[in-house]
Amino acid sequence: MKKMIIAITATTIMMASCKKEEADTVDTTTTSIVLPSTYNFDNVSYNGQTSRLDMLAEMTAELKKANAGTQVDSALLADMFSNTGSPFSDASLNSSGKQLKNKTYSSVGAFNTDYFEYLMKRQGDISQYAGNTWSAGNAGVATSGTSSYFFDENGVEYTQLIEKGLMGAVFYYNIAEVYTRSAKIGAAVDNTTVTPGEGTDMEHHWDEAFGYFGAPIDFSSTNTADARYHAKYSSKGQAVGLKTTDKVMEQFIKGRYGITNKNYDYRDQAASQVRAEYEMILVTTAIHYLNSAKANFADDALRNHALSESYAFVFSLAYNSDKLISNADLDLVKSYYEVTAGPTTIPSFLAITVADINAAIDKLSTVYSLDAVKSSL
Amino acid sequence: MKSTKIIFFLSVSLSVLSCKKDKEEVTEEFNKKEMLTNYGNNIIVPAYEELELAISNLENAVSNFVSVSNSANLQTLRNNYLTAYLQWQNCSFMEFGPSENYTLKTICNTYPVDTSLINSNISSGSYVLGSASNTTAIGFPALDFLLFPDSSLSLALATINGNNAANKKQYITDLVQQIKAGVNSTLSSWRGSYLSSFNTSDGNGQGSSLSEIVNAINLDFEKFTRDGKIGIPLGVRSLGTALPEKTESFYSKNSLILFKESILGLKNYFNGTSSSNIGLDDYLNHLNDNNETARLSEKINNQFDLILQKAEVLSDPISIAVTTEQANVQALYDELQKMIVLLKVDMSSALSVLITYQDNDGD
Repeated sequence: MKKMIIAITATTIMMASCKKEEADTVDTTTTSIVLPSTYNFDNVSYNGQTSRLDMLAEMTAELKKANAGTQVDSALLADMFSNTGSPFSDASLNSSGKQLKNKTYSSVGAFNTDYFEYLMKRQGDISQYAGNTWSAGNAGVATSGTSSYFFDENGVEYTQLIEKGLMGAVFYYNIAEVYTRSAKIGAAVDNTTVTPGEGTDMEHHWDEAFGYFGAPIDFSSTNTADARYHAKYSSKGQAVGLKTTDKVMEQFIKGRYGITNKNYDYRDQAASQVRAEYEMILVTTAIHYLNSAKANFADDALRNHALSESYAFVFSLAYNSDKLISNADLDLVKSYYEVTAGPTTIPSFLAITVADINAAIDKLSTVYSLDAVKSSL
Repeated sequence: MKSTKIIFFLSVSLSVLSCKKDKEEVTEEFNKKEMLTNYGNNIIVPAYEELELAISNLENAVSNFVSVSNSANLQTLRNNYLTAYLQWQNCSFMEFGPSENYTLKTICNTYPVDTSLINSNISSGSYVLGSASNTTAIGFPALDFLLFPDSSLSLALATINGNNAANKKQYITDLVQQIKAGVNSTLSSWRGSYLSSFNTSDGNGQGSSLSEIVNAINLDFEKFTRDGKIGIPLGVRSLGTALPEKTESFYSKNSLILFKESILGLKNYFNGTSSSNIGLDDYLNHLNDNNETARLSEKINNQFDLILQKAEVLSDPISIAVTTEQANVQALYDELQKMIVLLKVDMSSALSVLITYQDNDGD
């Protein structure tokens, strides 16, 4: 009998040591239920979100004209923002009845609608200098290899602040503060009456959150085709072993599964987890671009571009009231970009030092427990 | 009883078998930690220590020159400057971990410098050398500009002692202090916790020591050696129009010896040259055991030699050679180009290391 026990123990140890090399796939809380591997459910619909994603793409294309030396049409940008006067080349967007502006964060405490409208106006005004070469103090285009970027006189690329900023102030804000909160998925929301093609109200709200992510329904770390916006940037954390892509996707699937099967524990777990995992997309991407700014510190074009990207991902952290970072720490990180006074609330990258960049990285990596991977991001 | 025993053995051997499957069927394991320890303890830290010493000598020479600004002290200063700049060539391809964290390469060797920015910093006397707007006004290239306003020692001395002499000497002092601070920070990180984690991080994924070594070599070789030292002055980025003023060490005309030092340094680094001698070449040989007739390590070493031969042909500094011996510089560039294939494609794939540096993601 004793021998038998020893035998069993020995075998188990051997097996355990074998298992180590495999990835731990099954979450203990979900062992009884196997979640679908894709976001393939009945009556999924998020056309409005897809329209807004497409609208931002057209706005970004207009903003980037400055990179090629052409002045940007700020009136057109404003019209695109509010979908006024058929501004889009894709006619279906003009008639969609949707717009970005009325879904943009509009209150205090974070950059709001006014801020983005100010940036659009100013991009139009200063891009009259898009034919000039950028130098510190003079707006213009800086080039590195085949990449060209238009910056304001302080080295700030408004295109990134607007595009990545609206990804925060529209997409992330609506996921984190609107569609995963009780007003949209709580007990008072109908989860019985099925509207053909749209599911129940509660299902539809969750689908709208998923629609802002920018992912195809079968998106995963091994199937990244056609991902855009935040879905695309989830690859930064994924690449260093944080499984960011798969975790966000899993939480979206879990929440929809929970709602459809009236498993409200699942829904509630997924609602808070999707916010937390989504936040990791922003912070890993912010650190990624801070590293890039450091790696290209002597290259005006690449450094300013990377700083602009990272700044927008950093300020986007604010659009979630459950964010891990405190407001004080977030202000501190932002302050590293604002070492000299630019125009109100617009940063200046002229005097930033490597020590400033390292301080920003270290603060973020400490708050988000990313010290082990911060230099690989 | 018997049957239990049999089951025991069967199950144990089964699990052992299934474990083995994951490993490569190599009779002798290559001791990667030994290689990494050789790089960390015997090569990288000593290289930074030698740089630290050279910078310390340079600092003394600056201080002597500032107190007695005569031609003898300027000559010593120039000599110590060149010694330190040569040693930098042996560190440039180690830009990962601590040096990357402190952007040592940007601090030490960003060129061409913006001479009007340097002059305006000097005349204003007000500057933060570490700020983003001053990256083209610092490091060895700025010293190169300030210490060699003329190749003649006496004329150079007259210029340095001329307008804004006090501010100029202060600027030279500050430049050396900035380099010193960067080297000291790098070295103290290495001496701290980084060395032991570097020596033991023996995987090949992103962030592993092998990945750091291989990526740093490739980035440096492609962007700073092939493009910076040779390609850009030759005109490969300007439709064949030579840009001599973009050459490394343009003012002191030391570009050719700096280039040769960097190739020799990298060759030694590749071979893990030290008391224990275990380097990337040995690891490649180990992985390439069955193919001894065309070993990649030999191809790479031969290519280093070929590059050095092509450099030996040049008789002038590269800034002059790009116009007077254009064909020879082009031939050198072609050999550098071939080396990229060996290092970036063949070596990285043999070592299963992903090249992770990219300028940007295109948006």
